Amino acid sequence: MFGLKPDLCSIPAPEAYYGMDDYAKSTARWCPGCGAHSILSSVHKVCKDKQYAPEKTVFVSGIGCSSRFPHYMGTYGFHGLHGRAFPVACGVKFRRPDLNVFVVTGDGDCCSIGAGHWVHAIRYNMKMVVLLFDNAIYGLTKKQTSPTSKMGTVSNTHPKGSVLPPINPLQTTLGIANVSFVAQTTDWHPAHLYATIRKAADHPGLAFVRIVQRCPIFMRDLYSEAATDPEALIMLSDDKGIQVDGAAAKSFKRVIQHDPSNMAKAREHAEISDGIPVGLLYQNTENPSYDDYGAYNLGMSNSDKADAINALLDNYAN
Amino acid sequence: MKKSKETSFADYFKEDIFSSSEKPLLEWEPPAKERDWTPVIAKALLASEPEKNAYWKLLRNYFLTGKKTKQSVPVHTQPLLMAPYLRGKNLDTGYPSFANTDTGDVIPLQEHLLSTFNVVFKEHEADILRQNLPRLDVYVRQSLDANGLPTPYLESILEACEKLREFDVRGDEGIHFRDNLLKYQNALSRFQGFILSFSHRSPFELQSLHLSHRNARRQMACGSVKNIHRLLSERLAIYSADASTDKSKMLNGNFADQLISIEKLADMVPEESHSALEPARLDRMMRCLQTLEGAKDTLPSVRPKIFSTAELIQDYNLTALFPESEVIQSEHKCFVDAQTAISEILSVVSETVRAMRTAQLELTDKYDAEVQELYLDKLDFTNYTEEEFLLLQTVLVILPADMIIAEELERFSKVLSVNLPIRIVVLDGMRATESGEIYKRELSALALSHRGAYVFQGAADTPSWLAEAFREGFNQAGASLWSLMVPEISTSCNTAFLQLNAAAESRYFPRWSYSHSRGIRFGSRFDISANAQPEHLFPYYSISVFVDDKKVKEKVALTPADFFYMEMEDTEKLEIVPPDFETDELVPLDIYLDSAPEDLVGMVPYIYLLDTKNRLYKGVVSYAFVNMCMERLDNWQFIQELGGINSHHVDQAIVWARQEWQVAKEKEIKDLEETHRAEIDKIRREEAAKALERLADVLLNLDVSAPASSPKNKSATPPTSEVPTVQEAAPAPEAPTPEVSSEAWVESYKCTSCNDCTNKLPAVFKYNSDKQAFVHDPKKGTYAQIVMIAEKCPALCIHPGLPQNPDEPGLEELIKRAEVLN
Repeated sequence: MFGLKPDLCSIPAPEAYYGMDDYAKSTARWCPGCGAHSILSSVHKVCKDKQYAPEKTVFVSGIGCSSRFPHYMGTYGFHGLHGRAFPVACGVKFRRPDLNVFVVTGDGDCCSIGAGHWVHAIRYNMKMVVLLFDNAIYGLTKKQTSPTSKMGTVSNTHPKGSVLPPINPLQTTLGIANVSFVAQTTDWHPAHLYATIRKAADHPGLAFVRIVQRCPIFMRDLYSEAATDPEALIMLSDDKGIQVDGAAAKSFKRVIQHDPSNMAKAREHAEISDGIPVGLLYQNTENPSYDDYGAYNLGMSNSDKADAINALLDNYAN
Repeated sequence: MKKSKETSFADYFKEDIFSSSEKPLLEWEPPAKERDWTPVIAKALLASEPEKNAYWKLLRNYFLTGKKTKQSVPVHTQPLLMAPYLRGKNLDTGYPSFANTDTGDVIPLQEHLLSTFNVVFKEHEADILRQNLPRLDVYVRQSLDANGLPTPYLESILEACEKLREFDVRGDEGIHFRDNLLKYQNALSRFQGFILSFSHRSPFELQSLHLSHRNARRQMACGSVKNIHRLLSERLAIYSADASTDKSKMLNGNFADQLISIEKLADMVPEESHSALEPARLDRMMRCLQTLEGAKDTLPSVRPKIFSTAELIQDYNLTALFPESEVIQSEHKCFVDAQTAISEILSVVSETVRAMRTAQLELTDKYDAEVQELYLDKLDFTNYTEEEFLLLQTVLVILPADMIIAEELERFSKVLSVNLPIRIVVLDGMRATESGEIYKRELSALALSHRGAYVFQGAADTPSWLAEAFREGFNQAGASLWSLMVPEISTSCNTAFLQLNAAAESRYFPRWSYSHSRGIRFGSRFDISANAQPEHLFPYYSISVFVDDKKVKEKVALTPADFFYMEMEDTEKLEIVPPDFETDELVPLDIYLDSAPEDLVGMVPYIYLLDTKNRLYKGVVSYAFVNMCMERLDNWQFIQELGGINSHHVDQAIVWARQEWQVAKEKEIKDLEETHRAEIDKIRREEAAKALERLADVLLNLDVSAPASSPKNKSATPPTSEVPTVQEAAPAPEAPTPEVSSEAWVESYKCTSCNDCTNKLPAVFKYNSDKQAFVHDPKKGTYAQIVMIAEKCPALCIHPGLPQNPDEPGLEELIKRAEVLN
């Protein structure tokens, strides 16, 4: 009651309250049983809970099954070039820091053709949520090996099984400079999926979420066992991590304590091979964000800008 | 660059395709990133040793004389803790407040909205409405009176609810939202009262509301005077001499005379009953009746009397603020007038109370002259019941502190010593002079020394607490004094509020109250809990600052100096140390004030100041002001001691007790160690003997297993290094056979929203508000369909249960298939 305290009423409130339907648009055309359906409804729920204004929210995607995502959102969307979701999203955020930016990308889009942009987007650490839909296969083009396909994956490009070890997107992201948020979840655990995306949306920088996703058509066997086996998921638990409660929390049979500020441990857990670790691997809220610099002169009038440039050039006049 | 011949950048921007106007492209709010508002400690190169020494000489000169050096940084600054609020951040004020006229309570509107909400709805119910309660609060604020006068509660709340109803919530959630709002609105409209916003008149508004609430209750008390008068007159009418001649008057039924024969009834009333009454008793009762006769008509018409100076009456418009009271201008004899007024009231009321009590006793035939006569003669207002006390009309004196100190100190003291129920409001000015003449003479502390009176010190910045103080003070059977800090009338409301708040929080004008009636022990009568962090010398706040691009937490105290230097013009008088001259001899003011004089040689105290570009500087406080802060700290410690916090004597006692305890414990530990050592030696000797014996046995018998089974060694303890045998795990309880549900159901939290079931059997499966499936109606599909869907569900969260239609073909096989899914 006593002491200097700011008034709660001075916190601005939005002008409208948005329901789930405000974030949905048209019927999702993914195959029945595809994990992307689950991700879509979790994202709707996060947007509703955060009360993001649809006109202030942008979903940027590249090419692939996952990248159809913006079509199913009642927000702004950008279905872009293959592998170029990151640069477009960074551009949006750089000059419009007031927008809520989401990047939806797949294992091919991000880890193969877009890998160069992936590295720099992580380093720029602009505030956005990145959802990597990793089903370990190119589904849209009917089953080709992707950079995250396990060794020996039989596909149209490798009829006798793939021969190179896959990229581990978690380990790779953790290795990039200025990384600030890395989490993993699965599409078949909706409560954890929602909690992870929600945590990512609260993060002040770039939040990278790898979603282990089932492809019921081309990779039916890859996760079919894991999806029904309660022992398959390993929950990384911590007070600062991702919290699920009730029945959903009890469904995890294997739990490891993991402090998300511990990078070395995060790298160790990223390599777990006898199960799928889910939870927050790493978070650092203090990292610099490049969008701070982009926002620097917003709101400056044209004459102000002109005066500033003229003043600068006048230094060289004599 | 020759501007004339070339296209300037200004020209170029005029052709900007986005905008030709000078307005910015975007209506953009600054990002709410911490870095943008976190104070930064300016980077600096440290000055050379000789330069530093020279500056320090000048600085010490400033400290003693208050004359600023030439090096002082010429920036506009404000004290760090106050800066955000001085620059427009809204402070949590407790206003607007809701004054409930039914109960006389005053609570912040926010609290009222939330507590009513929690009564109507359970946790997790009506979440959208809960999230939008601040909006309702904002709407109410918008409807408040522009002049700061009390606004009728009901009108304002209903208007705000109407406005909230228009809030854009879509779909089904919108329907629920509006239903809930209606329910909430009904609950809110059960209250009655006013909404108060903060203004200079706030203390008087609170007082006026309390007075009118009190007057309403007083009318009820006057009603009971009437009641006793009626009962007594009825009784006396029976006994009176002319009763027999006009008995029918007593039974004056208005309509009853149509039905009953009054004449006949009158015959039944005892003829000579008054003859049973002693003349003394009759006389006593007649006298009571006479007194009550007069009192029942005069008492209700007595109005509260308020004595004040012409200036205050005009400044605060007291006549309009207290419409039910008589506001009397009384320049230099307020206390005399008040004393006369209360004496008059007291004489009437004490007569009345005596008559009432006698009458009550007489009516129940319990009056015993020997016991009661003397008691009732000596009865004074301190022994009145609550209802009797209400008959005493209020006499209020409102005076400025300076005037009392200059002219009326003797009268003031006398009023408090006599302890008549006079209510005094002392208005304390905001600013102390540098000479510190006024602030040391606190009238509240003076009143406290008279011990009988109720004393309160505070301001209108805590409305609930102040309202409670008024309630307590007005009910006090003795004098009460409210020493209130008031801002200058010309100050804007926001600044005024901040000033009051800072004065209290910085210990310049701490909040406390003392009531004689709270307890027998002197200490129990104090309350200092309304101060921020009362256990500390100053309240401390944790502030993040950037030092060399790293964020660190600084603990910053709010001191009286922060309050003195709130105005920007005032901080200009402070020496602002250039960052280059930073040394260890600069100490924060709170630490300086709390240190022993010998530790302070060469030290200079500072407070943190923030410039308009969020850079942090150290402003050195000169000796004159340090002295004043020191005096305020003494005052605070005086209050702390009275409030029983940080008492020096208790601290001393604890130190002694701890020392004694430590000595005793050390001795005990030593004794225990001795005993322990002796026991260990004994066991060691015994065990060694046993081990030798065992070894000898083994060697002689050459039977290795012998020691374990040997009855001799049964009592021998196993060596400690031995690993304890793992207890066999109890057999796992058999898993209970799961009960199969009679209907199909979905574990909704597992549903991955793949649309499969809802597309194929839309009548059976539907989505909930989280877009996760549930069974809407299991009878709308065949068991075969449900089993097939459950088998295909990628999350395996559909459980088909048992068939609904027993005549469906192929049930046996379907039930078998469903078994794994149930």
